[in-house]
Amino acid sequence: MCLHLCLCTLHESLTIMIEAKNLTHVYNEGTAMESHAFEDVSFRIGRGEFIGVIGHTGSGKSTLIQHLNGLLKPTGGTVYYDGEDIFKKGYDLRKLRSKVGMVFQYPEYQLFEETVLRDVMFGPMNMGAAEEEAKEAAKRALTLAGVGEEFWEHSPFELSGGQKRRVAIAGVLSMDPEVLVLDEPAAGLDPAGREDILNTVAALGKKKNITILLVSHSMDDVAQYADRIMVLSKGKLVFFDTPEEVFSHVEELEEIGLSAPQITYLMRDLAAAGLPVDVNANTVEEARETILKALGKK
Amino acid sequence: MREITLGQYYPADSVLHRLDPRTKLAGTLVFLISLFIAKGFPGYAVATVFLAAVIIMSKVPLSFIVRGLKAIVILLLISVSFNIFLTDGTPIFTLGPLKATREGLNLALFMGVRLIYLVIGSSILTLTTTPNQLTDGLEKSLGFLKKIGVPVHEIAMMMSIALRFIPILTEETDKIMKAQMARGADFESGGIIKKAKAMIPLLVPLFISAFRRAGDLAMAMEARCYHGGEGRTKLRPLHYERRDVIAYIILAVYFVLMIIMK
Repeated sequence: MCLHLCLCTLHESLTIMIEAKNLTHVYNEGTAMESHAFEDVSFRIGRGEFIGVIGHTGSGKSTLIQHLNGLLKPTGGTVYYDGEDIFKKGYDLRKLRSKVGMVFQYPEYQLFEETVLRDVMFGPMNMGAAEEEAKEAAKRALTLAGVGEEFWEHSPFELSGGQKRRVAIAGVLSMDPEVLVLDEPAAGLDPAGREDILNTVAALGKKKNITILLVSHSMDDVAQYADRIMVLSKGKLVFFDTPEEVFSHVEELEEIGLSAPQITYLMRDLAAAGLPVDVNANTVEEARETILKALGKK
Repeated sequence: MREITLGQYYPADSVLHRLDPRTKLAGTLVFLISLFIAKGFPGYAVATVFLAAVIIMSKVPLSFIVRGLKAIVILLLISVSFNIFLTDGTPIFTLGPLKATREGLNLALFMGVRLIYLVIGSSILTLTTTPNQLTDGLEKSLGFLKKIGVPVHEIAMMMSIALRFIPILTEETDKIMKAQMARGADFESGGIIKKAKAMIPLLVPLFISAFRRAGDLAMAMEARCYHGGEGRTKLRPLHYERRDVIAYIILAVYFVLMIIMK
């Protein structure tokens, strides 16, 4: 069912960038601690798409995304990038990692250099860029990530939590990735910081036509930004479709311990109370539109 | 990074897992001593039977136990070859200036077996006992040292914290390594200097996070009024069961047998 869904909802005009085929990962295979991270997951992601990945803690989402740049090897199935099997012998994984940038949870804990600029240069330097070239790339990335020039010569450890995270994101952006995978980039930030980071990420995707995979716990965040949503539960791909389609399955989502965005519930309640609103509105913006319309004010 | 079996608990439901940690500590100690008593074939035969029985009872897969041996392969090779070539006696064959002797071969064989048994014996202790139980057992067994001013509780606490942090730091290392690899870091290729340099992006964040965790832990302990061992009670005090008595009897029989067989 899933495969079918994915195939039919991927927009015709998009070129396929990442394709996972029957991907399976088993931890500690053959021991008493054996556990399935996920099983038989297949999907296709097109260039420039913004994908939201949601699922419970332990649903396998963090493990899944680490296969997209070859950090983990699957126990079954494979991943194609630009049509090429990334786990085939002789494939240049290091080059792939510059194309598929990955920002881990709490990325600020990976900072290590003396200055912000030097830390962001780490990626390009590893990819073989010359010092000056790396510096230019780092400056571009820092600007994109919204780190002010006044911080560039500071030690990354002197910055605030939100700033550190931006520096860490810039550290990945400086490699000029075509795909950006972010694992809970807003975790542990205050509400203003959350929105800031997510807006920056969304703007990046638009500006540079970067494909984005955003792993998140928050339905509201995902509903607001994603073109399509991937829902994982207990190592299975349950849904992979547009937010409207996914959130119309509120009951199924609740069954696997997730929920729809708060707005969706509000719309359903309003519709039940007799107000002719569009129940597929998932974001505050959409809700405003449809409520105003229903009230005849527009 | 992930292959540290020493100090890694293997969860299973076996008699050995349920034994009192003090019994297991005593058992390990007796086994280690017995290996040094044994001089000839009969002694090692008894030790082998005993060890095999313990391994079977522990329900830990053999592959897990053998994994701990990887760390001593080089040590094992060196000591075995030294013994073969540097012992005086009847020569068997020569390798350039080196002369292998029958006595040397004999000695090397026993030495190798002893080394392997030593490691397996202590691995079984740590595989069947959680770090917490282990330090509990040590604290209680060495309690008499308190009388001469040794801070037994504090040492045990430090040990259990250190052991507790091994998996956490291993996981942390793994995470940071992956994050840096995602930025194109290469930890494998290059000479020794390049490899050492490549460790900086790993070690700096690791140390920072270790200090942060240590600070958090100290704060959490203070917040719960931890003030050392004086007057502190245990949630699960250790006490011997019937199986421990049986284990001690088997152990005594084994030890006597080893002395006779030496």
